[in-house]
Amino acid sequence: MTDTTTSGRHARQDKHTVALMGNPNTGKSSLFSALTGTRQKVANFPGVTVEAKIGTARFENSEITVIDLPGTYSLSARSPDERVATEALLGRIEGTPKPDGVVVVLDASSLDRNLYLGTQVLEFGLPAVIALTMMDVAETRGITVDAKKLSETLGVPVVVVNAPKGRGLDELKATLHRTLHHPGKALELSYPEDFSRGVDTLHVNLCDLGVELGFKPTRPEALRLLVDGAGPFFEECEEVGGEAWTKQFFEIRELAGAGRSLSMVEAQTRYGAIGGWMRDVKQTETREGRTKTDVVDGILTHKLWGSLVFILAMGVIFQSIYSWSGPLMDAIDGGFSALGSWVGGMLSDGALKSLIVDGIIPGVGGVLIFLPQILILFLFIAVLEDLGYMARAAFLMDRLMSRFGLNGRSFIPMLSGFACAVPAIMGTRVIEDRNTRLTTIFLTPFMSCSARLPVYVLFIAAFVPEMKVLGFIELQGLVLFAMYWVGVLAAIPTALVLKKGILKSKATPFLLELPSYKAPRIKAVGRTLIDRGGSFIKRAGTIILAVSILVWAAGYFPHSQAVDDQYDAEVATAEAPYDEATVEFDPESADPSALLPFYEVDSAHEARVAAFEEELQDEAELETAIAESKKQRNAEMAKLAAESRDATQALNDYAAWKDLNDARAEIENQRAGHHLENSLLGRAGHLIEPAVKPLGWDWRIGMAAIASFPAREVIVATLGTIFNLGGDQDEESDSLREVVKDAKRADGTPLFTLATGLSIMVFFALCAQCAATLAVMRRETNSWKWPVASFLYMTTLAYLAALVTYQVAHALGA
Amino acid sequence: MLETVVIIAIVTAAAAFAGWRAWQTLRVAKGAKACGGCEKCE
Amino acid sequence: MPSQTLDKLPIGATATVLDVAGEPALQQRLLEMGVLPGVEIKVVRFAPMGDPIEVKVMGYSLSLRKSEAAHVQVSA
Repeated sequence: MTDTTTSGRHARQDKHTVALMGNPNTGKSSLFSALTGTRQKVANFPGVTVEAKIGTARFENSEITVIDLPGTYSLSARSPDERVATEALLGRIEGTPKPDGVVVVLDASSLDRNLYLGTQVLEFGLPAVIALTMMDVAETRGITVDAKKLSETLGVPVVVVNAPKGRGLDELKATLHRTLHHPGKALELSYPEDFSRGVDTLHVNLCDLGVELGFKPTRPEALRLLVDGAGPFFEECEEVGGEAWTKQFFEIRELAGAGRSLSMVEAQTRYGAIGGWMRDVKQTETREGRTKTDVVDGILTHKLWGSLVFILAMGVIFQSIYSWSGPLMDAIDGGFSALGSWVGGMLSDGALKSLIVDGIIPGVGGVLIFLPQILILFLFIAVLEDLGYMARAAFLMDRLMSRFGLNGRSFIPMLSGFACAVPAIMGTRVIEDRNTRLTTIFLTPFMSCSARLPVYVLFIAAFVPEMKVLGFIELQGLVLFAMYWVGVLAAIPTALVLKKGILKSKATPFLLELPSYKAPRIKAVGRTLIDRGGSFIKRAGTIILAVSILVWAAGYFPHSQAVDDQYDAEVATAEAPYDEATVEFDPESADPSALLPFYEVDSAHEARVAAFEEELQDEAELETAIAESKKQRNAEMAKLAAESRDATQALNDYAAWKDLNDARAEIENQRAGHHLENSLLGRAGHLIEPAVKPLGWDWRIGMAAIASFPAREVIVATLGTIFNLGGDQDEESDSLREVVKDAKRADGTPLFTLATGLSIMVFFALCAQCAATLAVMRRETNSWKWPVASFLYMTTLAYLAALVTYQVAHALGA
Repeated sequence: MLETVVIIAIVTAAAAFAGWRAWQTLRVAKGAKACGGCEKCE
Repeated sequence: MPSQTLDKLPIGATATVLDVAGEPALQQRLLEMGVLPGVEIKVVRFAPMGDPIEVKVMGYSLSLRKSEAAHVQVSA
């Protein structure tokens, strides 16, 4: 109804698809966001590591699907990743709509270089509109671009846009709409005769191959193939056409170049034409003095200051990931604990309660606790990226990284790996060279991510004595620092082997544009945070929830009634000697009890002790404070007891209740331990025990390590469960640390020694116990080969390193 | 009794979901070719 | 015309590109990025460890390794 009344002339809706193409750093992404708003999704191209975004723009009655293709400087394609742009432009990618037209985004401040890609795209002859961005930047540099003249010269409509300010968007859509209905014609450049003839000959030749290729190659594609002389399209033709074709191809190439390199012919023709146009289109006024970017770069890439700022920036990122996230993590942790006890209070004991309180809440909560770190890391990455600093970091680090066969561009993802390998691996998209990118992806999990920190903290606190080395360095801190180096040291030879062996690539060009600095766009940064945070939460709510439930089930079933009966009987025996008031006393209950005042005095004492432990570092000082508090408690209790004979009785009952309570807790722990040993997890644990024995582990540690496959930090919770404490032990709670210290093997010797502790830490520093990392590796490389190789390699390395660590440390008497 | 049913339902659902996700990823992995996704590979 | 390679130019020097050679992929990338005969190029700075270098070409900043710059012949 509405349709006919508002626009009778357009009876049916227009639907179009356009591709957005341009150099990197041209404001293409902001234009895409401004055109499509929130209606966008990521399109994954099979077999390649690049991605495109697809969104929908509306203009009057028509709907325009916009494909934001990866930013590129040229359509030349030496790798499948580079070929994607051409394939997508020609609508040859399944699942991605075929574009009816193209928007070429050109940066006015460096128009010449931008037009290089521009001429390549316009040669395809698709209906095209040029979106001219960065006019303000050009102006500050004394460059004036005449959009009208540019349009006349190229025969393509030109629209000046400023996406962040929302200018020119409607005009762009209107022009696009018009152009799609009345397309112009393809751009024709005058190439040298030999070259043109070569392209024509090859085009005819390719059309003959067309049937076997499965598509009809266009002339611009023939030009690309002729010049590139390599790459996926070449290989495809070689496969179809055989040796005869290859021979012919190189003959055509030889003739077309007439003694010159074809890349040179192409570049000189394009830039020659561009130079000619620019005389009319562009006016450059030489400005005295340096641009803002020059001034800032004078500091940020300065030999001394640049390095200092860089180190400082990295320091700030590291510090804030740890320190800013602290309170937020505590809050999330506190929230989940509260939720756990609240739910625990609502449900009666049983499997369902255990599932929720021991399985789901600590499982999902244990992962969500890392949300602040993820957000902080992405905040920095997004801001630095938007600012244009990332290219400078790559510039600064390239020399160092190239020693290990890497690339300056590998640095940022590897650094992010210290927070979390998942976003870091996603960050490797900035690396153009496939082999360098794969090497970086493979190495990133060796950086000690934040999920290893709980493991380190637990075992260092339990086994490394609190003492100072050389008078001022904390030994515990030193060991922690050393753990971070274990991963880095393992990564270096791995990098060398990979780059010299399987992932050998010819020294790939480092050529990198250093874009001018821009103020970060708050909207874009906010969007990144919401996207990343959202997908993280979604993962916690889906696959991690499922895994938590399954791990819990493996540790809970079969839950034998006979075992329960046995421990119920023990509880009854323990309760038998006490009177009813003692047995039934429950501080949480609303019933008034004579024991309650004593309980409150005692709780106050315990709260004081907990506070002291938090505040006081010095052992002697702590002991004095605790003794003080104990004295105060005893005095208060004595005073209460002195009030009446009943009160004296209540004090005795309270003391008895405490004993009974300890005994009951002990029985409950044994009950949990017995159930665990009987469970699937426990039985599997005994099976694998021989494999982990040489590392100094018993079945419980082995099982905890295996159960931590979904995420490393799970081992902390799992150990807590396993040591009869229920699954809610936090790494910083004294009790788990104490229990770890006190745990005994079957023969009565201490389970954990310094050697065992070191062996576990080294294992976790190197192992690939993180399903999310492996999954993201699969997604980013589009192959299971890499995650599988990574898992096998890292697990083997971790096992061997832990073995050596334990055996050496054990032999040294640790 | 009701509790047992609920637990079995939840665990089965979790196992089914995890299995479905694993299968889904495997399926995508199998369909992916390194050639850039032209029709020829399909 | 006397010539030398781009990596040998001192900071602040401006020169005209005479020829671009190198392995095909590198040569093509250099040309595409606007480093081609007849174009004016200026060395802006070296990275703290002496490599890579930053040059100004076609009105924008490009960073490239010395080993890559060695394939670019410039006027002396």
